[in-house]
Parts: sequence; C-alpha cells; structure tokens
Amino acid sequence: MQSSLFAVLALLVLTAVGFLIGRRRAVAAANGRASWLHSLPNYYGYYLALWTGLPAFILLALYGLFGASLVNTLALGELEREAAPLIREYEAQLARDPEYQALAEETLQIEAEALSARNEMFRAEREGGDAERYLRALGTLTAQRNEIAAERQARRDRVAVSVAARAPHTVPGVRARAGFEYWRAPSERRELFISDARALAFNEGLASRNTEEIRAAALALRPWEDLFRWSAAGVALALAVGGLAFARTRIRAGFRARDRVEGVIGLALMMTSAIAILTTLGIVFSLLFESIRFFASIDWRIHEFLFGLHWSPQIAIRADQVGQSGAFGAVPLFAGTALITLIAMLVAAPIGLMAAIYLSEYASPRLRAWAKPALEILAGVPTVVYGFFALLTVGPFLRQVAMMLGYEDAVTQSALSAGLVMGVMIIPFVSSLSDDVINAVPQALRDGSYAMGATKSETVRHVVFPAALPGIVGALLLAVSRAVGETMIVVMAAGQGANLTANPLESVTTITVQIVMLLTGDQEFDSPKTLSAFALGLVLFIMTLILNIIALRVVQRFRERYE
Amino acid sequence: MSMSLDFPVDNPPTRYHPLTTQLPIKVATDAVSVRYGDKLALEDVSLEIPDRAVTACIGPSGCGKSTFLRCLNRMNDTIDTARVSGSIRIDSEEVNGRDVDPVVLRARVGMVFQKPNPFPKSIYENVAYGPRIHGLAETKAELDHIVETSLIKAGLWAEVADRLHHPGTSLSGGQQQRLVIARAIAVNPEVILMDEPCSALDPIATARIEELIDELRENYSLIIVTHSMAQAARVSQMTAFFHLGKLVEYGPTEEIFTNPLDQRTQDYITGRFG
Repeated sequence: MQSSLFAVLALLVLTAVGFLIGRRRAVAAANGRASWLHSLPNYYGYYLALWTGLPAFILLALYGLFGASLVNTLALGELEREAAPLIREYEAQLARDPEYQALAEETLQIEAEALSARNEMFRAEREGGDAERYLRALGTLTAQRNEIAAERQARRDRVAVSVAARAPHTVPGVRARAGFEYWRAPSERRELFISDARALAFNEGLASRNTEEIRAAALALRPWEDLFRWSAAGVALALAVGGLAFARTRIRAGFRARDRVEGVIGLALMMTSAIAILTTLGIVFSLLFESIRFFASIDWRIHEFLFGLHWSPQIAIRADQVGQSGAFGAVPLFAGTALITLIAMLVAAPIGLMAAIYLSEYASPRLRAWAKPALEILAGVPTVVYGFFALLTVGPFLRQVAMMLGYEDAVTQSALSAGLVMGVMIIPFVSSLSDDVINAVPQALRDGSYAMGATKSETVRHVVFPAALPGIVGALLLAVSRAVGETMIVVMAAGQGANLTANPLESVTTITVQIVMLLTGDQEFDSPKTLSAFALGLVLFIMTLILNIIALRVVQRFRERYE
Repeated sequence: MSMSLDFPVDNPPTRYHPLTTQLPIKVATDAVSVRYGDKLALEDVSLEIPDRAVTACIGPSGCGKSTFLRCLNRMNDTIDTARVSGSIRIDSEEVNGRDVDPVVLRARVGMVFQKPNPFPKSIYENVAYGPRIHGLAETKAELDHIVETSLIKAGLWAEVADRLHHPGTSLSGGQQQRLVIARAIAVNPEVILMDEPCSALDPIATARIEELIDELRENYSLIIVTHSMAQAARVSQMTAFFHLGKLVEYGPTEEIFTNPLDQRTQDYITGRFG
C-alpha cells in the first residue's frame, strides 16, 4: 500500500514539475517573448504535465484494476503445478473405485429418465393429459439424483482426504496440499480461498479460516504481490520521467501545444461518454447472458416462454422440492402489461394532449407560466405514492362502483385501478413533451391559417395539430415505454395473479411485477425461477428499446422539417 | 418616441401628392396608431388606397409598414399586447367596429407572408383550406373548381396539375409562395396584403411573383410591403413611404420616385440610408 501511495505522490510532484518546466522552457525557446509562441505558455506547461502524468497514471490504473487478479492467478497457478502429483493420484484412485463409477452410471440414467418425464409432462399439459403424475415422478427422480450426487461428493471427499494425507508435512508438501485444495474447489469456494489467503497475506480484512493450506497460499501470494507492486511503481515513475524528457525536447516556439492539449481534452470527453455507453452495454450483456442461462435451464424451449399461456414459477425452497421446475409461459404477463398500458394511455393521451393544446394555444402567458410547472410537479410525485393512492383510494372506490353496477366479483387490486393511476402519472409526461412540440410549430403556419379567416380551434385542428403530429406520436410512444416499465404502482395496485384476461376489473400481473416477485427475498441464484427474471427483463428491455427507437426517429424527422 | 438626430425634431406632417388615378377608393385609414405594450409602432397614419391597383409600402426596417399591413385584416388581434386606434374602412365599412367578426374580415382581406408558409397538407388541401372552413363549396366538384381556378390565377396550375396530392412543402420556394397566393385567392377576397412576398425568393421566382402581382391587379386591391425600391417602382401604382412609425409621404409611384416632396423620401429612394 505504501508503495502505491508513494508512487502516486511522486507522480503528482513530477507532473507539477513538468508543468513548470514546460512553461519555462517555452518562454526560453521564444527568448522571453511569449507573443512569439504559437500557444500561451501555460499550454506548453499542460502539454508537458500531460506527457509526464498521463501514461504513468494510466499504468497505475491498469495495475489497480488487474494487478490483484494477475497476482492471484500466478501464485495459485504455481501452487497448482506443485500439486500435480496429488491431482494425478486422486484421479487415478477415483477411476479405480468401482462403486464410484457405478454411481456415475446411475446418475446418467436418472437424468435421462427425468428428461423424458419432463417432456411427457409438457406434452400432457399441452394435450390435457395427466400432467400431475409426471410432475410427481419428476419429483421422485430429482430427489434420487440429489441423493446420489451427495453420495458421490462424499466419496470424492474421502478420496481427496486420503490423497492429501500422503503429502509430507514439509513446506513443499503443504504448498502442494494448498494447490490441491484450490484445484478441487468449485468456483465460489475458490474465490473464498483466495480472499482468505489475501486477508492473511496483506491484512485485507478478516479470514474466515486459518489453515495450513491457506497460510501456504498467503505466503505464495506475497512475493508475487511485492514484485508487481514495486515494478508497477518503478515502471510508472520511469514512464513519467521518460515522458517528461521526451516532451521537453519537442518544445519550440512554433510548436502547437494548444492543439495537442485540445486533442487530449477531446479524448478525455470522449472517454466519459464511452463510460456511459459501455455501462449500458454491460447491463445489456449481463441480461443477455443470464437469459441464456435461463433458456438453457428450460432446454431452449424459448417458444414456450414467449408463447406459453401458463405462468407459475414455483417457489423452490429446497432444490429437491416437487415441481420446482415450474411453468414459464410469459403470455399472461405480456397481456397484463399490455392491458395496464392501454388503460394508462387511454387516460393519459387525451388528457395530456388537450392540456398541452390548452397551455400552448389558449392559455395566457401568465397562466402558462405557473400552470406548466404545476403540471410538471405531478411528474415529481414518487411512484410509490401513486401506488398507495391506487391501492387505498382508487381500488376500493372502483370495487364499490363495480359492485353497485352488479358486478359481484370485483376485487380491490385490479388492472383498472393501476391503469387509471398510472395514466394520471403519465399525464405530465405527455403534456410537457407535446407542449414543446406544439410550441415548435412555426408561428407562420398559425398566422397563415388566421389570415385565411380560420378560428383558433380550426387552426389547432387543421394546421397546428397535423404539423405537430409526428412529434406528438413520439411523445406518446415515449409515454408508452414509461408505462410498460413502470413497476411500483402495479406491484401495489394490480395484484399478483398471472391471469390471462381482458377484464380490467380482474387483477393481473405485469412483467415488472414478476421480476420484483422473483428476485426479492432469499433466492437461489441459479434456479430457473430466479433466472427467468432476467429473461423477462430482457424482453422488457427489447420492448422499450424498440419503442424508444421508433419514438426518437419520429421526433427527429419532425425536427428536420421545421428547423 | 425617440427621433433620429438626422431629422428635424419638429415632426412635419405627411406630404400627400395629388391622386392621379381615377380608380375608386377601396381602403381608407384615418389617424391609425398601433402600440405594442408601451411602444408606439405606428403613429397617426391616414391614407386612401385605390381598388384594382398595387399600393407599395416602403421604408427602412422597423418603420411600421408591416404593422400597418397587419391592421388591415386585424392580424394584430393575435398579438396580446397590440392596441390599435383610429379608423380603418374597407368600402366605407369600419374594420375595427365591434360588430365586425375578424374571421369574416380575414376572408375578405387575404394575406401573403414573407416566408412561404404552406400548411403541412397536400397542394390541393392547402388551396381547399379556406373554402372548406368558410363553406364556399357545396360539392366536391365545386371545390375542385375553386382549387383549379385559384391555382390558374396564381399561375401554378400548369406546374402542379399532375401532383395535386403531393405535400405543399415539396414545392420550391417560389412555387410555395404562389401556392400561398392561390390559397389566399381561393376564398375570393377583395383585398390582398403581401408582406415582403419576395424577400425569401431568388430573382427568377421573384420575377414570376411580380408578374403575378401585376396580373392580380385586374381584380383585386393589392397592398404590398417591400424592401426593394426597384420592386416598388416596377409593380406598384401608389407608394407610401414610412419612417419611424410615421407615414412620411404618399402618392403615385412615379411622383414619389421622380419628384419626392420630403427630404427623407429623397434620401431613402436614392439609397442614402435604410
């Protein structure tokens, strides 16, 4: 740690020195007359400072990002190589163990049976057979497989212990045992092993275990870490001094230091926008990979996910629970999302549009000055507040009205109450965007219409509205993508039942709500149930992406026409 | 109101040349003043505009000539802060009268703007817009007829007859301006106001519009605001010179250009300022 701190401080000092040298050198190169220089003297200072500091800091940053994992790989690779004889012995013993081999055979057989049972179950579900029977069979098979897996694991552990015991209690022996343990560990155990070793080696927090093997690994990490730390600091300083010396020789009176510095500034700005874009890409890719894992876990029956009519991702508390595979037909979720979005847009589109027309065409400037911000405050109300408004006020009210009208099955949590409240939430979104679009319609068009003897509403209907239409469509599409992605109101007000219905008085569920349900609370992170949330997220992302692209294209075309 | 130092502060009255045309008077204004909020944009303008002739309003930027034009069809009503006083009569009917509906008035007094402003509709719909909102055509055939004759009068028919349903914005600038003129003619106005109708056009399109203005003189009273003195000399029979919100001089175009009575008119038309 101290070495890095020292390196950073030294670099800062060098950078400052570089700035001063650059200035001095430039002024000297122009014989003391700064006006002879191509750029202001400070630019030569910045130029030199950049050459001094930038490459060195980039190197240190790279070391900070990748140094630790490189050290781990190298050190543990070393230990694993030393463990090679143990690994050979272990594999040979397992291969010779007839009972272990028999267990492996049995596992394969059970998995084949389970696969056919699952196919049968899906067929029965489609064709209306006895799906329950296969579900039970599947449960039994799963339990059997898990039992055998546990037995195989126990056998492997026993062999591993006996093999490890043969290594001598010398330093090389312990190192070999450490390498062997690391080699055998599954990936999350490997991470734990490494973090424990690092904790012991560099006082990075507390180790969860303190065994001989971990101490050996810690000792193996240290020389590599030292080597890398000091060489990183050394190379960084060398780069700084080298950069300083090189850039210093380039300074002449006619040297275009300003252009170079501008170039670096441009590059730095580009990097920051790249970060934003790369983050988005990273999120998309993580969604994609988890979705692929999900699709793999349902045997690539993507069509069943996209077009299946039955959604019940069973809550698997234990891995061997009956029916843990669940049914992942997402159509009820898509339908629920569509229903609520439709209701919301039926509320928001007319009200928002008419409010926008009133504000931009009819309201006096004074009224507009406070009415528009007031409307936009609606957009600032947290969605959770809308949520309990929907749950506690609108929902019961709608239920009473429905019951008064003779609809006895009305429930409090309905698609209608969530949709209505969501519509109210989106009104300012629609009105504000449409208002901007309507204001962008050139006054000349209105004047032209008035000069023809058209009234205000005729002008709005026949000239202003058609001219603003592409922009308004864009605004509505953006509003739709907000409605599709909205979560809190639906979680609270629409219920959770995955009903496939077009009746707005029933409770429905949406993509977003299901994602919340699937991922909150204690969950296993590799069961199909949790992974299905990522697939839903991916679908949602693709839907809103398409909507946004269309909306932006439409708005853009509108802009081109009038600016 | 501030006065430029180049001119006498004593504020001389408008100089009128004797009218040489025998045409009847179409529009008469008396002591028209316009305020935008506190700013006096037009002060005490009185003149008589003949029918079946072109009257040009000239003067440097900000002299009030466009403001004057917008008084004649009450377009100033669309600006909240504008206040118009004085009397404007078209065929001896008071324009600013309480019982006059500006919507009906604007059907009688058409207007063409500086930048061509076709509506985002087809060529046909652009021309049909006025007849539709005023209910001038009973049947589709009548409407077709109005559209066709208006486009013929505006000299655009030959160019657009085969693409009446293309968007109006797809035409060139000069064609768009003629489309807008056709749109104005379609409601059968008596007066046509043109606010610098050629300033956004190239010389060829300008020549075409000027020709059209000369043809339209047969049937309408045209009032045109222009920055080009040459244009005023070419197309107009009467010229009004405005300066700093006042009507300085008014008379037959020939007289104004060959024998101006006011020093400011003399300076402006010889290009000494403006």
